[in-house]
Amino acid sequence: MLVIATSDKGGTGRSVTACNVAYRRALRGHDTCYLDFDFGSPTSGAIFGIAGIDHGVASGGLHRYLQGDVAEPERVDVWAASSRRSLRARPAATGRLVLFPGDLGGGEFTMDTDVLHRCVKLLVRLDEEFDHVIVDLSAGRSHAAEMLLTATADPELARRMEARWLVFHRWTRQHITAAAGLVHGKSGLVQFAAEHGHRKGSLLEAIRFVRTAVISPDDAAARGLQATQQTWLRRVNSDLNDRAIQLGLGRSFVISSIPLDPVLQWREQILTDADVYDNLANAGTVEAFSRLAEDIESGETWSRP
Amino acid sequence: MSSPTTSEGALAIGEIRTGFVRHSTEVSLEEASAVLRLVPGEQVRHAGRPRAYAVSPAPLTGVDCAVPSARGRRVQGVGTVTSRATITGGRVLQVCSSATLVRSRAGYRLPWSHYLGRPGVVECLGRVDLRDAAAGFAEAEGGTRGIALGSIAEQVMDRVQGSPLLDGRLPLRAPRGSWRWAVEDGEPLFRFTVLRDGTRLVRLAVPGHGAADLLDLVEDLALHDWLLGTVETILGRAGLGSAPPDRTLRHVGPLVGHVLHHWMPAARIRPELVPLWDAVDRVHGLTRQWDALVARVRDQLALDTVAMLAGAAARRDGAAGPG
Repeated sequence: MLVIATSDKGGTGRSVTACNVAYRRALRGHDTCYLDFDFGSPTSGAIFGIAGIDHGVASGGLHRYLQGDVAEPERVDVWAASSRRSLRARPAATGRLVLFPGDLGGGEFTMDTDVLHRCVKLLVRLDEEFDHVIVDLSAGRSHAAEMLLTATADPELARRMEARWLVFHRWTRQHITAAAGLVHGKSGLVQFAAEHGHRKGSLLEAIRFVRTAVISPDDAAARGLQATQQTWLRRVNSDLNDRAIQLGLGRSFVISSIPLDPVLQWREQILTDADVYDNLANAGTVEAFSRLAEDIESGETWSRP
Repeated sequence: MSSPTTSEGALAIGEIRTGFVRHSTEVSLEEASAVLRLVPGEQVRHAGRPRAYAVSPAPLTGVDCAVPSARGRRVQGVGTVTSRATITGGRVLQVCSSATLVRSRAGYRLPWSHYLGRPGVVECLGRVDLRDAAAGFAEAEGGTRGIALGSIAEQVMDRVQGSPLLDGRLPLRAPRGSWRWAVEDGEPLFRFTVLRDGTRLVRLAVPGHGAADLLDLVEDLALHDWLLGTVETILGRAGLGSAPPDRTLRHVGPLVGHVLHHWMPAARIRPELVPLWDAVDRVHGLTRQWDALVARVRDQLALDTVAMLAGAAARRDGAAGPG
């Protein structure tokens, strides 16, 4: 299965969530790979704690592969290469976790038929050995997003590999509007898909939203807010809900709500269960990652209400 | 089929990739023949005994590249690489891309027609040390490998896997196994190395046997080594003995259905080479480990069955019991 993570704005926690989902899938015994298609700022190396590739590899990453400079993109075995001890101690019965990093100073590229062909070839190839292929796109409309939309319409890929899209947005008015624009807007994903070989409406069925950095009003008391602030928060939250429904981002299209987590705000990293025991991470966040990792596969999440 | 043969002072090198055919069921011999038709107008050879086996004709790839070297010598090689794809038991796909390295008589690059007339031969322009080349290709982790036989094999494999006859719905997934081998002339030799990424390297010399015979042997070893590794990995995931029976079954089911019956060591190698297979097997314990794994699967399944029956009986008794 192909899982594509995207967002309209930066700073949504898309990459860190996608990396954590990949980690959780692997923990559950599924062979998982993570493709860093955020060519402008490939940070997955840093999130997985792999020394020396904080901002992509010096040569042979995905960007160079798609350009045709190398025959195969570089792979990094996260369990073996991470500098975090808690990741290197790979538990028994876990799946493989392989990172395909981007390139240092990769930047955008123009999509032509050769690039598209290499993309399809790579995805078909990875489907042979991985249960889950997770692709992290850059924020906003990118050539990489268009490439994946075109690639997933390719009959060779489409008949073999189911593609699911996760659109990340923060729980704010601006972010909701931006995410709706990215999906439903005039030159949004749905429109582009319809023009590039996807069956009408099929992409919409494959898109779910991930709300990030969410503060639930019910938790607000615990955060020490005053009564007036809580009332205000409740009203704003309800307005946001109305707005989301209006723009097609209502509950039934939401796959996950990730709570605001201070640890992730300061340092984007994989949250292990040990981090929770050490009180470094919130159990709620890890729980949300874990549930999302489960729901990207389960049928119920993806059936229309 | 044109296969590389070692003549006086020659070295054959190759890379093998092994993986599952991207199809929901085992492919029949007829399907395998259609899938492996890589060269228009040339026949796919196949056999039904002792198990289904089909071999593609050999497409050629032109190369002009560096010759491998353990000591970092730079020698140019020009010629063609030959590849062959095989499907064993309708389930396991292997591709081997290989070339025989010989010294060039001319010492400079000739027109392509010259090389096309010598399929599977790469001529080295310059002074080449074949022992050094063999070590660079199939023994040393460093050194220059030069010739990208692995990429060629991967490409041929991708081509086969992309066949419209294959539905792509794999019952189980596994990484491709990767072997690099060098067959030399001279004194008997067997050197086996495993790299950190799992790639197997083998240097081999058996007086009286050319690369074609030995390729069958290496291919068979690669197939069984890969099968063993794959089963081991999947059983690791299944959490045999500790995970709930449904998780075990989910992993073990496809193994029983699609993998376990493919173990048939030395099924298609020359009888004179069987002792060599046995010797390798004795040292590395492939068959012993395989037997232990298979026994473990069967015992676990039997145990789970007993547990489920006992559970069902308890539920029935409970339902028929008091009240």
